[in-house]
Amino acid sequence: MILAIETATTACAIGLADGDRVVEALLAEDRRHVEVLTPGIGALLARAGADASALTRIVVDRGPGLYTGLRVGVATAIALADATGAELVAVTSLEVYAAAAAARGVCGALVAVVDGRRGEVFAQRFALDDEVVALDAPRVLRPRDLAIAWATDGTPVTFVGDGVVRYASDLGAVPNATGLALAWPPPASALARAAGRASGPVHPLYLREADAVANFTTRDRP
Amino acid sequence: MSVRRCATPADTFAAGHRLAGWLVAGDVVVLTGPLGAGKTVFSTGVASALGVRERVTSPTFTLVRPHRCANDQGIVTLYHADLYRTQRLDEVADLALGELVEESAVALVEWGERGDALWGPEHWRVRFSLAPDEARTLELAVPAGRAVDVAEWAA
Repeated sequence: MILAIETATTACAIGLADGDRVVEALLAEDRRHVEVLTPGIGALLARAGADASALTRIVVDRGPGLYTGLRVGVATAIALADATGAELVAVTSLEVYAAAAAARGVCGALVAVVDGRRGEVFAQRFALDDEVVALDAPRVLRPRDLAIAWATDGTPVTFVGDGVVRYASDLGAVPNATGLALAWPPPASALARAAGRASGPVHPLYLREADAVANFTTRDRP
Repeated sequence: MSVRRCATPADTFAAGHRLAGWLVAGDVVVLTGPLGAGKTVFSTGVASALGVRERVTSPTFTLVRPHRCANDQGIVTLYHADLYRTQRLDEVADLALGELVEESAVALVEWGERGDALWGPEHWRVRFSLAPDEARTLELAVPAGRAVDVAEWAA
């Protein structure tokens, strides 16, 4: 069985694949990741008549997204993989949103938009045709700047993600744009996206940290 | 950017007290400047205006200390942080201050420039400096789109 763990937004969700059969469970929508995740996994496994020893693979969303959620999801995935010997596979919140849009019939230009909080979003551009292809790297920017770039570009685009809800006033004003509001990246799409992907060590993707190492190494510390 | 000169600690306290009235839940206030430039005194002024009853001291060793507030601004908690002892950005990120404040809190962050990559474009910033005559100079930067009378604050 393959388990998917989703904690990149205020929601906490999981999915379980047993052969072709996939079930999803939304455990909470209000930042209670630490409280609901582990019991939720136990309950979903029990419903499938199994326990953690049946897990062969664990797919975890490593972000970017809600910091306090991601550290619970990634730590739980690592611990569970370590305890059961299951393979650990990472996906990003942005690619899961892109896969979810594709599964809902979206094609053409797509931007996955995750609420980055503090007035910013995490965004990545994809092309959805026969497959989901990333066209740039995940980045942090103001929703207004994202909106202006696409308004200038003018080509039809779909925005997908939790950022579509929060920043509807910016993104909704882009001509030729369609919004697909999904409050969390669906675990079923994470399972689909991770199929065939190699396993390996997983690190949370926070995005904001990379630029900032210099703040500590170059500063004069009294 | 507007500049206020504070001749005494009471002035610095008053500057914090006045700024507190403009804060709303979700705000992060970054305080920068050398040791002894008035960041903690300013913080006690903010805390006082937000209705914190207990004593506010520099949280250097605890990194962040929550204070319960009583005000009509919808601010239930003041997180007073001091990043002086942090060595790496991960440690600052681990405090998750930007997420802690979202619903009903604000954060005051001494040595806050160490977390600059995390605060996003919309935050308050007060830069403290020491003048030769022992006065303090406070430079205030306000988040975009806030209707506040900075000229009155600086006066």
